Amino acid sequence: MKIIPINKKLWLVFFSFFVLALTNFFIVRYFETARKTDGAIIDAAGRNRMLSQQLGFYAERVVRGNEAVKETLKNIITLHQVSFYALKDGGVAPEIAGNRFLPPTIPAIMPIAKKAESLWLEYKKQGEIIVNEPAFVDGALNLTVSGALDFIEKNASEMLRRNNDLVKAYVEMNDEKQAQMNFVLFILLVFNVIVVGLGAWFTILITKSEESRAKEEAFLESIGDGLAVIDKEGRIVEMNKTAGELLNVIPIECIGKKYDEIFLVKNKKGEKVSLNDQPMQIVLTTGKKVSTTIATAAYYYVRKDGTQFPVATTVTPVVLNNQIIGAIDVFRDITKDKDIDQAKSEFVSLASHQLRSLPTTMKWFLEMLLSGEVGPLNEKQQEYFEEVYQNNQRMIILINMLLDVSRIELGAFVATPELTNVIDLAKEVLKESGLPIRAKKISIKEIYAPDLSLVLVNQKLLRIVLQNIISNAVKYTPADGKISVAISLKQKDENVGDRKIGENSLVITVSDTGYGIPKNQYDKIFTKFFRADNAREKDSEGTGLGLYLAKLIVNHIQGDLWFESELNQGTKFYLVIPVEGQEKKEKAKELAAGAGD
Amino acid sequence: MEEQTKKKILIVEDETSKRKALVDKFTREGFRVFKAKDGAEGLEVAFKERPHLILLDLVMPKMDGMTMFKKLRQENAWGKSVPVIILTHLSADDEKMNKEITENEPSYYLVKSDWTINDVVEKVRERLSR
Repeated sequence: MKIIPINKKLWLVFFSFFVLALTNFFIVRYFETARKTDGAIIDAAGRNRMLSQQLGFYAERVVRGNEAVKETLKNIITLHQVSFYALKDGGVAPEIAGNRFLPPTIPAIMPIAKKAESLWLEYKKQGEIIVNEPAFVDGALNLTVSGALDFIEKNASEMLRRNNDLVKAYVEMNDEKQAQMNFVLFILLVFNVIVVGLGAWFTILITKSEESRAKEEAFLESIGDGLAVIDKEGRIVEMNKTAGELLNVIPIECIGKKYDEIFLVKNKKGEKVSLNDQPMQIVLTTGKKVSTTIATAAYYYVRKDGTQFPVATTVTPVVLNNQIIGAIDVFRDITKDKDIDQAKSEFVSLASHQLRSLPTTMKWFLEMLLSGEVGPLNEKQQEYFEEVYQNNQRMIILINMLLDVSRIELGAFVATPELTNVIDLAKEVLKESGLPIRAKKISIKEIYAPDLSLVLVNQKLLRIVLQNIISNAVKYTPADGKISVAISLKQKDENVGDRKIGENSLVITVSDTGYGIPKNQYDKIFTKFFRADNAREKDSEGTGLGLYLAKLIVNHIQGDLWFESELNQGTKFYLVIPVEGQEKKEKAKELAAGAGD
Repeated sequence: MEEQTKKKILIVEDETSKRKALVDKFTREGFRVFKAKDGAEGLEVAFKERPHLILLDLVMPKMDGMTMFKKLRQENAWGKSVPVIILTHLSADDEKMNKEITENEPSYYLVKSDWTINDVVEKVRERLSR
């Protein structure tokens, strides 16, 4: 939509109102004239009638010998003539104040007018005979004159009738005009209502949009993060207060300027980022969202005074009708977050060292005691030291898991993918559980796809996931049970269990004939410190961290982990890891859509 | 005389208790054991005694294990070739550290809590038998 400036819109409303008022004025005035002529016509017709009667009256008196009224008769004829033609041909209505105009006869009523006219002309001619000829010739009645009077008297009623017809035709003509006028006025009324309504609606809309704009501005101003909006040419169209404060500029002064004049971007190394590599430009050209996080902190924004700050930014394209019309940059100063992040990493590192150190030393001393190399232990001593040793082992496992969890949660784990022989890895992990497997006489079935080559995946992380899933299978399968581990590569859109996979993936399944997972606890199985009721019953020593950690890792490497289970029948875990683009994903994480980790 | 044929190893570890465990174990296993409580002392003892192998902790006061390791490798031909086994509680996912260690063969990297004390002895024996 093209945006018309608000004052122009208001002018448009005013202008249409003005045109409407003017139209109303002229239309009403036009029909007002018609109404006035109605009166004038009736008046003229009345005069005609009166003059016709008077003509007859005076004509008779003249003929009877009253010479004195001859002049009056002559005047009446003249007045009648003027009055008649005013009615027929139009013009100023005689002797009416305000000189109302009469309309000329329209063709539709011409025959009626002609009829009246022809009689009138005869009438006039006879009247003039009476005026001009002497009433008596040689003492006797002038026959010409008495014939004229005869004609006038005989035709008086006819003259009246034709005159009436003419008036009637005129009035009908005016009535018709009146009806037209009613119709036009009705249309005008409707039109008025529409225009006024539209105008009012428009005005309300404008007011509303003004209001919502004011609100939007208030919203933008209230956003705690810096916000800048640019158009597709890269010009700043909006900038909030926080952005101004962060960049040390006055927002209003930045509007209309190219964003690279205001946003000086540097990379981690302090080098200036060229225009084409700046997030805003990337978004404008690719249409894809760009975001950086504390973990990546790929960019620094430089303030007007030359100082700079690390920034977490999310730049999103603004799309209208499938076209990029601009971009929005939401950013914040992450100096503090980075410090905190650093502190967290240091804490985890320190905790790793200190927490692990003590049980390890204990373990070594216990090993030396238990091996008997410093002298034999009696049976109870042996038994108790074994207990101490086992508890110490559990502490080591718990600490390791907690540290793994916190490192992953804090994003301190570098998950670089490497070429990994997944089958060897699975075999190693199985070997680690060799002792309990043999003790419980569990049979292991390994089904490995023959075409499996090296897979690009982070070995350390995959190992942790496998360790947890396989050790769970061993732990929660009763004696003489079966565990099968299958590894294969599946293509995009193939089915794995009841799911269809979206990418070419490495698929590892671990199924057992164990205790199963209670249905009502399915949704909690991957939550931190959760242990299923039956698992707690069978083994009181679990940490409740294993599957949480596994899921955390699988999410981290953008894979999927789920299970199918039947109580007391067994459980099957599905692990799906996309194999293509693990490397790409790593890169993507630094600079890409939705990198919220 | 017997003392002369024994393999010499140097244990550099700041924690008294852990050092004691290692020293006792390796002595019982028939090694001639030298000990040091930080990197600086470790370096001094190393060049004086020229052990066949060094067991090195990473996080230590005064001079940490990594610094001592680098100095050892830079000093002379013996220092460049003496096998070093790094004992640490840090996981080997620190890319930088991993790279430095593997670049400077012969050296190993053991996460302490993953290994029993016998495993450590085994690893040392295996390395020395090459």
